[in-house]
Amino acid sequence: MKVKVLCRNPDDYVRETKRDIHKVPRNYDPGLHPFEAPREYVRALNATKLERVFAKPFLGALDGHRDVIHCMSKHPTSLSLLLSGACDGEIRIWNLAQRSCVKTFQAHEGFVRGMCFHPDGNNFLTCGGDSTIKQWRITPEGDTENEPINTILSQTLPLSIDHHWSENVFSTCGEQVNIWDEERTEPIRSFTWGVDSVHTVKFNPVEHHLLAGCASDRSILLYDMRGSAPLRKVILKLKSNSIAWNPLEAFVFTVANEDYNLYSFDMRKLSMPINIHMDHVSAVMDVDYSPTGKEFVSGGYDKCLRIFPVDKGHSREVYHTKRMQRVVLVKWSLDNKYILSASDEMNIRVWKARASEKMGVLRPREKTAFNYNEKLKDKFAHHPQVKRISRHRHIPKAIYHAAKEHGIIKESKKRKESNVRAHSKEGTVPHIPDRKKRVVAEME
Amino acid sequence: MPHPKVPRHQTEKPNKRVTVVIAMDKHAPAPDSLDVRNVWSREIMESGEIEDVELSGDEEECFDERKHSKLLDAISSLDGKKSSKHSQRTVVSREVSEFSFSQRGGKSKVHLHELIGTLSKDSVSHGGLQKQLKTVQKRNKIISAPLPKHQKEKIDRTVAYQKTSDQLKKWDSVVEKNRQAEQMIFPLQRPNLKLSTTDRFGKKFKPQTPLELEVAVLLQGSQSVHHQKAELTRAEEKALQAMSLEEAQERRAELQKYRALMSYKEARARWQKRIKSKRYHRVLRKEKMKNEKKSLEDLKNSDPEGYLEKVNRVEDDRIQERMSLKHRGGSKYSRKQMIYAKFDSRSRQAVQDMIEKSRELRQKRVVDSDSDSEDFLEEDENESTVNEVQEGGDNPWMSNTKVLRTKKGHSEGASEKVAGEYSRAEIIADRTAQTITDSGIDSITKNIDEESKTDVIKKHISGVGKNIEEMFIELEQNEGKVNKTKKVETIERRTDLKSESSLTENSARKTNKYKRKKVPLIDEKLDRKSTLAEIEADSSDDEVLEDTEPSQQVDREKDSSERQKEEEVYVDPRKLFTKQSVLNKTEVPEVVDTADDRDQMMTIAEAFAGDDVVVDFMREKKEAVERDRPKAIDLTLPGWGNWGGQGLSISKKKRKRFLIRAPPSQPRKDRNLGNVIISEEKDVSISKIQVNDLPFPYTSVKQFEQSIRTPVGKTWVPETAHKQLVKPKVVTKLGQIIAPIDKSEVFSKQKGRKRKADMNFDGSAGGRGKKSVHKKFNKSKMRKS
Repeated sequence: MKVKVLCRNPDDYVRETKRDIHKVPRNYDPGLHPFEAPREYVRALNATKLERVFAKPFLGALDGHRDVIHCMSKHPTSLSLLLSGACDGEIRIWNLAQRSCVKTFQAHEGFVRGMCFHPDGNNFLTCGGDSTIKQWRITPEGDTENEPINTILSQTLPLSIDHHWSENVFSTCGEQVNIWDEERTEPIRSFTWGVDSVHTVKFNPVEHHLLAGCASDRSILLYDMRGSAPLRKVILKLKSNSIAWNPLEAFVFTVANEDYNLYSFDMRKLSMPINIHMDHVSAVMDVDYSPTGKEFVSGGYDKCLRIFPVDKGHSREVYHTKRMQRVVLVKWSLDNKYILSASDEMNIRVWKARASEKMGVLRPREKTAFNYNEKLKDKFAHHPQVKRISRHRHIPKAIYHAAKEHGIIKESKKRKESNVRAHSKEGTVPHIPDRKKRVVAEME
Repeated sequence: MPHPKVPRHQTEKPNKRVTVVIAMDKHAPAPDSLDVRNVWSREIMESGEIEDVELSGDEEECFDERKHSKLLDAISSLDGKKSSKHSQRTVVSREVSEFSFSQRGGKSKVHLHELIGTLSKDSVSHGGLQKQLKTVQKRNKIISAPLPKHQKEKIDRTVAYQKTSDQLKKWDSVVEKNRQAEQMIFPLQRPNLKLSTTDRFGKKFKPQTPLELEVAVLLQGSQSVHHQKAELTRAEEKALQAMSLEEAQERRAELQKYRALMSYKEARARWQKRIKSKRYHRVLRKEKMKNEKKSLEDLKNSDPEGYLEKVNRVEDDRIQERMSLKHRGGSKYSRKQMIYAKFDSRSRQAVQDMIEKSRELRQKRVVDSDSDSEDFLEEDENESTVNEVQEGGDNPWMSNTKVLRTKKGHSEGASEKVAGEYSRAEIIADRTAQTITDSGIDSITKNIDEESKTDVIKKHISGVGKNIEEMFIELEQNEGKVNKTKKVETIERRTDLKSESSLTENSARKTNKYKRKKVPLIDEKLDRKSTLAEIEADSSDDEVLEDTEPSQQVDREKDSSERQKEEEVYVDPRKLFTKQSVLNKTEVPEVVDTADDRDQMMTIAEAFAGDDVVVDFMREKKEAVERDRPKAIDLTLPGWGNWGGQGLSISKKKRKRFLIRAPPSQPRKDRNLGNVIISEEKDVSISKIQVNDLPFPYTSVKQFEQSIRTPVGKTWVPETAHKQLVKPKVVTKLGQIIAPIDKSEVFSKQKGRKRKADMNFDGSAGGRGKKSVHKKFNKSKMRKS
């Protein structure tokens, strides 16, 4: 007769390897696991604290330039390559992974005004103070010949250059905005509106035929490459230094303004910006979107970088170091992990985009744990303790005091306006939203 | 074309400078007349196109390759041979065009008559042209002046802007969707990974490995591989050819029929498999079973050995059933049905069927073959004993061992000898019970009333402490009485000896149990028992069901126990919270009069001698009530508006005037709860970690609270749900370049166009230049400078 015994399947409880985790059967009866909310709150608080503990965003500096860096460009197909051009006409090619300079060469006499990559990544264009536009070949390793493959003498002094996202077309700006075909020495199209010089021009990464530029007459200009006339001009209170298109939203762009703010615009409704991003305490010099289109980074004359969520008015993060001077250029790497900044003291700095993120490959359990922590932080973000810790930053004294001062100024202006309103006839001092006040005129 | 103008220029400018004219493009129309040439030369002179090259004088200037080449160009162009050079800008100016067709500046216009003038007059076609020109000039109607430039440009701009804005409208939905998306995974353009079907794969497949090649050769070379289109394989055809015609036809027909039958059967099997009707399958199964039974009987007659084998298989089934209890809740289906049985008559029926089936399966079959019969019997006996041991609950032998064990735990003072004797006593009692009930029932139910048993034991212990020998004698008497079953009732009524009565009670209950015939099929209930009390209640309910004729005593006892339970639930501290009464309460269920217990009681009493917990509590509560009561504020200042000094009392009027009476307080929450203090004070410490304002996306406090209360951790939710809950909003891949959203892809997807299913992974999916950009540099056009 067969003898029957109670037995368990070893597969249910024996690990296959030593590194496997033990299977733990769980009972989800809520009675057995009380105090869900308080326990999760504590976890959230701990996660927030740990985030601040591990927030070490600075990764390294690339030094070597002998003059102020005037332009930078990310390689479109390689994450590790970066170009930078300085005011002495020198161009350096950097390997970010090794944090080393791959190549240095003299490209222009005078400033390197602008540079951009061809979308296939095999060559790049530079324009300089000697009014030339040069095209250089570059290998995937970052090596290039000392002589350009093509040189065009421009009609006017080009101040900036940007390449079309898919075609063999690029644009320069200066006295006028020119659209060039790479095969011609003459611009195929020129746009002028007024006499002021345009100092930045950027192609739209989504709708490739659109361009936007910032002019020194405090205006932002929009162009359509297909037409013969510019589209529209918006004049703000102060000059815009830089412009960046959202890579996910075809009609949204952000400008870095001299009035310490950044303005996000919907290009179809230019009468007022869709958002004002405040926090800088000095002129904002440059702005760049993250490739996910959810955030952007800005660098300013207040010697710090700030990261803004696109839909928020205030920054979520501020980066600074003691030795970093005025930030003139910022770039967000194409894998959404790093931020690059170039500052007045001739250094390029590499930062993490999320200060406390663990770099490198994560194991699945680690990943879930981080996700859980993120979720908890998000869930309890409104609780005062969590909020306080997550917002807490050490910032330079100068910024701290300047921010305080700006707060006071803002408050007093507000108070004054309300006083004026209170003491004048009803309806004579209308409420104008702050966003609307920033736009001086929208010109057709 | 020899150009005399160059030397002329030289003569005009004798200052050692060579003025070089880089002539027109070769595609440009050849200038015939002198006027045109003059015009051109003038224009060239005026424009910045003329290039000055220092011949001598600046010898000290460093040798420049570029200038040298320029000089060479200039010299070579002196003879006019190299006229097809491009003009090129060498200084920053707007003046020179790439092709030097005309002047951008438009300083001198070329008039119509000038162009016409060059045409020879004798040519017929040109004459027609001239006529046309004349008529045009004659009419010379004035058309309206064009708009001013700035106005025209404004209109152009407005129209262009409007158009572009309209075109951008198509992005609205996409942008909105992306903004609302719970999760976005980057890069957005992911490679299209689709699994191809076997057909498609088969078509593409080419044998590569040696094994594949071998198989392919075999398949192709084989004569008997059947191809889909052909009716017969090649081998069959050959065989047919080898046969005589009639034979071949016959064979062919046979093969065809066979194949048709095969396909028909296949189709039928597929069709039957797809039938979902349970009834159909049941009928099918029953039919099958019937057939099997029939065949079994046939087998019994024809082939006894085969029959035996079959029977063995049935035995196996039985074992299987007993092991798995598949039909008694072992399978998922049966468990489910048992749950539904409460509400659904059909599933009730199903459960009944299952149980029947299980019984049937578990039924022991006796094979009446001579050789095995003895063995079987022996086995049977063994099994029955084993079963008894396993089922054990009411087995007197088993229960005795239990009693012994529990007893040891309970009374430390009792000696081994006593225990042994006592066990003997109980054995006897149990035996009597068995003799009583031996009449017909031989199976013992599994349900044991453990509690009652332990009660009995306790009572026995007390009995033992008194006088064991005496008790033993009494037990003997009891046995004698019990033997006469009718006198059970009278024994019960006797209350002088507790041990005795309890024994009889026990036996009586047992008799009741044994008398029970019907066992409910499902005795487990679906409700969850969360507390011990419920379980107890349930078991007591069971008892009620079991006892078909509950005796009076049992009833009484139950009543008392219920009363006791009630009393335990509600205790009024004001009345009952005295030490004495508490002790009394514990004494109620059993009479404790042994010296041991009394000693223990005394020690406990001594240990907590000065500890008036209840009184303390009462006082504390009173204090708390007093403290929390809002108090009146007395603002009277002695000496204010009155004479002050020692011994002077403040007037009543004044006091009344300056006394601020507190508003009547809310009734306390613990006013009706005797043994609880609920603090009425607001907890300040918690307000520090509470949210002050309702955060943005929430519209009500309740909603927000709900969101906080719902846990997301693995501790509270299953792994899968947890992963869903904590999934991040943005996912990026390490080291992957994220390209901007691709217009063509987004809108091709929206149109629902299907893309080609290609498996090859494009490595440069994330790159900026996804579309291949063809670069052509015409070096003849653009020179290195």
